[in-house]
Amino acid sequence: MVMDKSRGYSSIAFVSGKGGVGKTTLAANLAWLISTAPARVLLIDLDFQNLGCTGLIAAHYKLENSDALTLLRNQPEEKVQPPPLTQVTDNLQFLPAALLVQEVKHRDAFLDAPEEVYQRLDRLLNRLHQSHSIDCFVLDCHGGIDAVSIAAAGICDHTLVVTEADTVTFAGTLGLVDTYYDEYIHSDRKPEIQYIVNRIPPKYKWKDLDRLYQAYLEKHLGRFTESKAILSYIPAEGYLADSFGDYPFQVELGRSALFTRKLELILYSLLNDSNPKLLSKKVQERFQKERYARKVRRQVISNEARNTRTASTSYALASLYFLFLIPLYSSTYILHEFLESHQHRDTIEKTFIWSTLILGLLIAIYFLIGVWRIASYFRDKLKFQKALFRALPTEQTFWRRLNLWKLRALYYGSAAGPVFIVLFGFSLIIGFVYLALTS
Amino acid sequence: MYKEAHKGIQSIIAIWRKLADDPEPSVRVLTLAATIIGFLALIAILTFRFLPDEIQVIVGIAFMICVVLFVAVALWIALRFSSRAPTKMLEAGFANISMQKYGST
Repeated sequence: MVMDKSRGYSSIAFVSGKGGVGKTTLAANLAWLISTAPARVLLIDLDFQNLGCTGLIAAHYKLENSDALTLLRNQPEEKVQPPPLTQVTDNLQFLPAALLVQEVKHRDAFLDAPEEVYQRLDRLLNRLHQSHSIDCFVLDCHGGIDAVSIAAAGICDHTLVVTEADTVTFAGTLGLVDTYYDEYIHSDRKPEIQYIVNRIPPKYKWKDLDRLYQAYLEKHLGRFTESKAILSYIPAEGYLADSFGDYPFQVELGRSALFTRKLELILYSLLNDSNPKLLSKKVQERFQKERYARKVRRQVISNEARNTRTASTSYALASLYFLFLIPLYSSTYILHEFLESHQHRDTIEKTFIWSTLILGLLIAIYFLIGVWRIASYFRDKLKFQKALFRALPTEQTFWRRLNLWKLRALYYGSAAGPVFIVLFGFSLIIGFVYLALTS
Repeated sequence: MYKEAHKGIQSIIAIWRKLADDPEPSVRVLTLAATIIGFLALIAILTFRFLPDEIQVIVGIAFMICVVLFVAVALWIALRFSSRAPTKMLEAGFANISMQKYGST
């Protein structure tokens, strides 16, 4: 893309080939993260059909009397009073797509002409940058192909196409990229497109998924992607789905959650070279370690899914082992008969028994990890609910408090399990040793 | 009977070839290691009775360790391959869409 470096601000657009892929959640949380750098961020809702981000923010903050549609429609001059922006935090402001009291009754003609939207949006961003000293704009576009999404890709430094690992979204994403190709192939301004594969179910492995997307980036998806790599794979997280709409900024609630780390890594990958001022020192330090960055990049299973999977698999393996013990003892008996005349019979038998015991010990350790993961599951849930409880002071009802106490009881209860198992195991060993010594 | 045996051998060879040609290097290495160990085990079983007693003990212990390792590796490969199945389905879906849209995958 031919970037106008003199603009003095960065801009990131979130687009997608179809709706409901998590653009609004990603845009709001990314904007919040940049604002903690600290940098002045303006989150703009450009989805004039659904007002998704507007609904999300309006549920928790009182909107000021200005909106993107009116500003794009009327194009205020420099001399006119700057439009008031909704203050979300000290550094984060918000501009709704349209005010909720107004109904978008008719569709403005300019919204169907990408070039017209481009000119108007470019002027609006420059004007807002000057009047409100905005360092970074985060644009949340409509889910699907529209003139705003096309124009935003031409204006913004980075266009993040949000997709999901399924065939329905894939077809929409190809359609969107084809539209960009038709629109920008002969243009001077080439969009810088990056892909985020969002809400990945735990059934996929990073290696397999990356190999698959890599092939399509080489052919169809990567026409405006220099790196020919997926920017980020974000796993589906239960707590994000559970708390959707409860609070707009989940990264604030789950500071150490994988979702937060993934968004931090996205920011680091996008801005570390072009505008590191928009990155907090913590983020810079964290992802300078290549090994850590690789670990975060490659994790496509949420901690929650990993915890529940390990817990159930370890239980199943332990059960299988106990079933395996029956044929094992039968074969020991057969072996005993078979080696009757062998002078090293004892050694062979002992090796046989010890190797199965070691296998059993390994399964026991895995089972213990599985039990501990149950405690981790409840610990993460409790931590998130506590943060949500603190962030929403008006929602501190008796039932929410009761829910917290329930989670607390489940966490401490499940954490006590592995401790008792270990203590029980130790006391058994000590008991056997004592018996062996005394007899 | 002969036909069934032939089919069985063919399917075993097909699985072995699939593992040996796997795009993941760790699976290829494990297949090679399992093949070598398998051959050694076969030779050991055939010659076991004719070996001196001390060697029989060493071979017996090595064989048991190999059995335990084999169970662990087989379990790992099974898990790895079964977890690849969803991506294979996704790949087929992507290929169908791509073929209908662009005339190639």
